[in-house]
Amino acid sequence: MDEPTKLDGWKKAGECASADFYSCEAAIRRLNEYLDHELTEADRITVLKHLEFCRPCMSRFTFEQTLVISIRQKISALCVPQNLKEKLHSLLRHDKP
Amino acid sequence: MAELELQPTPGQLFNGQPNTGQPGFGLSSILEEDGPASPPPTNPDLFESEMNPHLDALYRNGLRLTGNANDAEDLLQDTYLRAYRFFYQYQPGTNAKAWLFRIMNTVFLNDYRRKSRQGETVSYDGLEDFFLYNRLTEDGVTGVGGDRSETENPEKAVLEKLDIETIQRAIEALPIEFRDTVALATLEEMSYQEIAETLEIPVGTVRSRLSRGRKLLQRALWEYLNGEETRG
Ligand SMILES: [Zn+2]
Repeated sequence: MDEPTKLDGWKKAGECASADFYSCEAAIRRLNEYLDHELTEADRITVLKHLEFCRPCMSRFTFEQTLVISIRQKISALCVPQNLKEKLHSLLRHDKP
Repeated sequence: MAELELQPTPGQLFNGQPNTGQPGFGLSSILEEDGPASPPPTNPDLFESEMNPHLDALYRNGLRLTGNANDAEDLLQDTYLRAYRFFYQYQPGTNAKAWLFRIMNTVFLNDYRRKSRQGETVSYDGLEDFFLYNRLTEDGVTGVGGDRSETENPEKAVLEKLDIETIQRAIEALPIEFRDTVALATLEEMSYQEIAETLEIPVGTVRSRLSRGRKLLQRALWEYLNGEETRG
């Protein structure tokens, strides 16, 4: 039985993939969460799809990611002085409240 | 070394927010009591195995708070001993890092606040996404990425010139409300949930502070990389 409507031939709502990944703005909005691994899997895929075909964004995102990782690596060399570590270790064994 | 016994002040401020002493937060008693008359004994080996993996990150937090190594060491020691004394309140399996950072922030506000440094006054003009990247790829840019071959690989050019001191100075130059969030996410790789727990702010606030704070950080890095004379 045929029920022609104006939407005949169109996919029903919910069957279509979001076109969000075509937009630079949508990807850039998710930059921080992308860098910090805070995106849901679906959002992460949206960003990755965009980066796949948008060279400017790929270049920008790569820069941001490299920057964060590099800053983190450099700063991790800043650590507790050895003599303080030893002092703390011995204080725990002598400090009685 | 700073006095270990903390005297709470009424209406104490934490991070600009009133300390509501919410249940589950578990720090108010650390300030309000000297501890029970006979606290449960803490096994130092167990304490160390839980806490020591976070000590370097905690020390860096102390450096950012106090701005100098001597005070940072004192603050770390105070924090560590206080955590040890109140270790019986710590729930194994919960976030040890966030717990330690909260103790440090609380101890700092009580004992060291007079030494607290405000970030520089910054202007929010010209805050853009990809601030550093855009500077480094601009045509005819002078300074860090001026070389044409460097603009094809901008990150390489800038990263080679970033050292610990520049990074620390740029972080410390951030307005105080952004400094912690940016540092914890960018330097210490804390999740947004951990940061929210540590700073007692909603996760949404973590997101918005990061969004603006990282742009400010990039601008500060750019300014330090190009020397003080370009500031203003
Ligand atoms: Zn794009």
